[in-house]
Amino acid sequence: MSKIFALYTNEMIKLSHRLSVWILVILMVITSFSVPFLVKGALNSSNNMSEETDAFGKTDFTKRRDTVMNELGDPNRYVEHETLRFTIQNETVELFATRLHLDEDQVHDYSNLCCYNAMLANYNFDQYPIYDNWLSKEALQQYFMAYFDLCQLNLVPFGSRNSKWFQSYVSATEILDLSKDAFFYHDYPSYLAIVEKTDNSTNQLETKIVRRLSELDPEGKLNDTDAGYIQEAVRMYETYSQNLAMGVDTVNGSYVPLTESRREQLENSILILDYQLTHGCLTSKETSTAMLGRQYSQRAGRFLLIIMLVIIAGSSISLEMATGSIKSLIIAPVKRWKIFTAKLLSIMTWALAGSILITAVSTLATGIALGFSSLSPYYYVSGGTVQSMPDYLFTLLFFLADNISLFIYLLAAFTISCLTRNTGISVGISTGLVLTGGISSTLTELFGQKRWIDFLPFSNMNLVSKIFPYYKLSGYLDAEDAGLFGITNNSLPLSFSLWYLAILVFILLLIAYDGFVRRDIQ
Amino acid sequence: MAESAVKPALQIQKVTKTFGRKTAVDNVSFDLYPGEVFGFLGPNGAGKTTIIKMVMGFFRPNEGTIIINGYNRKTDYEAAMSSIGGIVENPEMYNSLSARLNLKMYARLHKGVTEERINEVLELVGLLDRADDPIKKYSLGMKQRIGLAQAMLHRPKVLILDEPTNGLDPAGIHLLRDILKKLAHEEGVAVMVSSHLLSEMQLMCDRIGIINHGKLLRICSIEDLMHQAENSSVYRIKTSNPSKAKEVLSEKYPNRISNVEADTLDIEIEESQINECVRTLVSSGSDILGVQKLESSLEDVFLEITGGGTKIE
Ligand SMILES: Nc1ncnc2c1ncn2[C@@H]1O[C@H](COP(=O)(O)OP(=O)(O)OP(=O)(O)O)[C@@H](O)[C@H]1O
Ligand SMILES: [Mg+2]
Repeated sequence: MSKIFALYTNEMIKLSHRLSVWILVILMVITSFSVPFLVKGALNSSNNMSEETDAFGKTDFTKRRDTVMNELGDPNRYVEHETLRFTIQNETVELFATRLHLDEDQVHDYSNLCCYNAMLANYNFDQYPIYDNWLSKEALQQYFMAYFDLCQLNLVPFGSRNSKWFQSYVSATEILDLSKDAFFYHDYPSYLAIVEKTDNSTNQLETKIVRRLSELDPEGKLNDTDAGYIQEAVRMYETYSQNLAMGVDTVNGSYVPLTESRREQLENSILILDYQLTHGCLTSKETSTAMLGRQYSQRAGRFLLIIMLVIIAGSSISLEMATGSIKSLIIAPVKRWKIFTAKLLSIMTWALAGSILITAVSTLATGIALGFSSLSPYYYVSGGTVQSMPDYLFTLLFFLADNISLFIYLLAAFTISCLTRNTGISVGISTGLVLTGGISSTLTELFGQKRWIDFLPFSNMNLVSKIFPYYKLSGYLDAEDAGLFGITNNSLPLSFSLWYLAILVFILLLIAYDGFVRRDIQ
Repeated sequence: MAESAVKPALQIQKVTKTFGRKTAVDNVSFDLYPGEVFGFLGPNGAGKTTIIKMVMGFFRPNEGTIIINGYNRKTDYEAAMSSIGGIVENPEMYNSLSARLNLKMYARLHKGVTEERINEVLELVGLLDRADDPIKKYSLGMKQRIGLAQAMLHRPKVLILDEPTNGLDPAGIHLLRDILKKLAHEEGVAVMVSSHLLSEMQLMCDRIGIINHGKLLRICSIEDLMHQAENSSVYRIKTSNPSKAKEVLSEKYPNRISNVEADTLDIEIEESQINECVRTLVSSGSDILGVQKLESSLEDVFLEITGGGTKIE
């Protein structure tokens, strides 16, 4: 044991004196530090652009109105009025009706023109800026739609208007009134009423979503991105609840029976979603940008780290053989398997140190560029209650889990290095392996969801999404988007993947043992 | 020196090593005793490095046992290897690290090597001033010296050096000789040095093992070898028809005739046999133009033992 430690210390000294290692470390730090700033820059420039165009502002609408006005001229010249009488349930109702003399293709422009005029005359653009406000945008759309529907009804000649027409007319005006309230007075209940009336989704899902939204944001202040996250969360919450109630699971668009582990996962997801909804800690526009910056920063840093480690692992035996420095290890009173173990340990130490370094750098850079408070914690369920852990801690654990997959790649590089005793070949092959890690997703695309694809090594290396099944709920990109290993996640349980990888490690070690320990050193 | 009462420091017993179909070392056995400098002599490709690599743990012997300081290398690897030090072929270390760091790292793998000991060996090989330079800035001879320093760092009981004079200047060779003699004769280290230069061996070795084509041909003391050289009994007979003379003589003295030239042939016989030999030739009708005793050097003895060929198999 002390011999292994002595060898390990020597390995660490050797690595720390390698220039190429430090160049990659510096590159890694610089890259991972600069990414959040790049994300911020990209964001600022895109914000500026949308402000320039002044979408949804008063001048914008004036411009739009003028365009339509040029087409149609004075809207009043298409209008004719008359008082009509309808008998509804033995009562006579009098209606001051409007008849529009328009071609089919003019209706849209006409209704828009009227809406623009009404907006420009009555809408308070300063109090309720439309740009980036969810409620305003949605209500605006409803208002335009309702007005268009009404115009359609008003195309009907006076003579052909019967009581059925009248009913349609009444409900159209009702909706128009509601949408006017929703739009001009920023009134949530009116908007909610429209959604309730028009919702024809199963289980009134849309109504549920908007109702929840109005509870969380009664004054309608949310921007559309944040509202989108809430809608998405409620949709997941409702879908999961429904799946649980029905005992089915929706995988890739088809229904399958719910497994026990999946049931637990759904239940926990519901708990987390509920917690996030009630505590207002869902992903927001701000946090999602921060998470994006952070994860791209990690991804870039990690990519360089992996390249560095593959070079170290792929050259660790072969380079020493090439330079002959292996001699002082062979002559020393240490068994060869200890040399081998110490080398692997030292590589894993660098993997660990690198992971910690990247976590620190990306947290720091993201914090500075996009605000420390915008980094969202990871939510998980323990003992039936929702817990959270700080994002840096989660990132670290995430890396540790991912290092298990990384270990396989490094061991492969190491084994090839022992076997071929050629640095070029072993680094080349192992880099290739890392880069083609996504082969399982390609295979899935080619052959469809086949059982044998699940049993390929690559398909079992996405441990992260098996160990942390809820990280998407906390606003993290999934492993595929984050550019980490394993890429696709197979449906086999974690324990299977772990066993599978353990056997893989054993086989690789056996080959490396034969290549380095048993064979002669030239 | 090599009394049987003393326990050998290194025992090589019936060791064989093959590479594919080629047998590089063929059933070699010998012992190395504390306090002696043993010279391992043989032409290129004889198998010297192969034997050394087997002792040092690079190669596994196909057959045979290697015992170092009483420990079987196979079953007691670390105990056996801790009493051995050496250089195999060229000394190669971590080029970008300083000599001192190289030694420190090597010391970490052994028990009881102190900082003072490192300075001591650096001083001994004359590199103390350059100890903090990276190895890549060293000349070949300096590398050879630092290799020696590393080999003796942990005071091994057995010191094995493969062609250590390669690259050394005369002063360096002198120093090496002194160091090796001192280690052997004063500290009781068993030293084994390989070389293909007999003159070098002559100056520092007590015993010599001669090897060729993987076979250990002879083990003897340097004095024996010199004695043999002095008592050489090769006679060059000048005759007009050497091939006929060879025919006649080989009946009586089989396998003694060598070097048949245009008008001479060499024959290895005792001084007392000369008369009879000449008489045989004369009676068979050959003419004898002269008989000359050949002076023999150590080189000749060596060539004679190894077969003298220049062809490497
Ligand atoms: N790794 C190897 N693979 C195959 N053959 C080898 C190997 N090492 C040595 N040999 C062969 O074994 C024989 C002995 O080689 P060795 O290196 O022991 O010679 P040597 O006595 O050290 O020669 P030199 O004086 O040139 O160093 C040679 O014929 C060589 O070709
Ligand atoms: Mg040699």
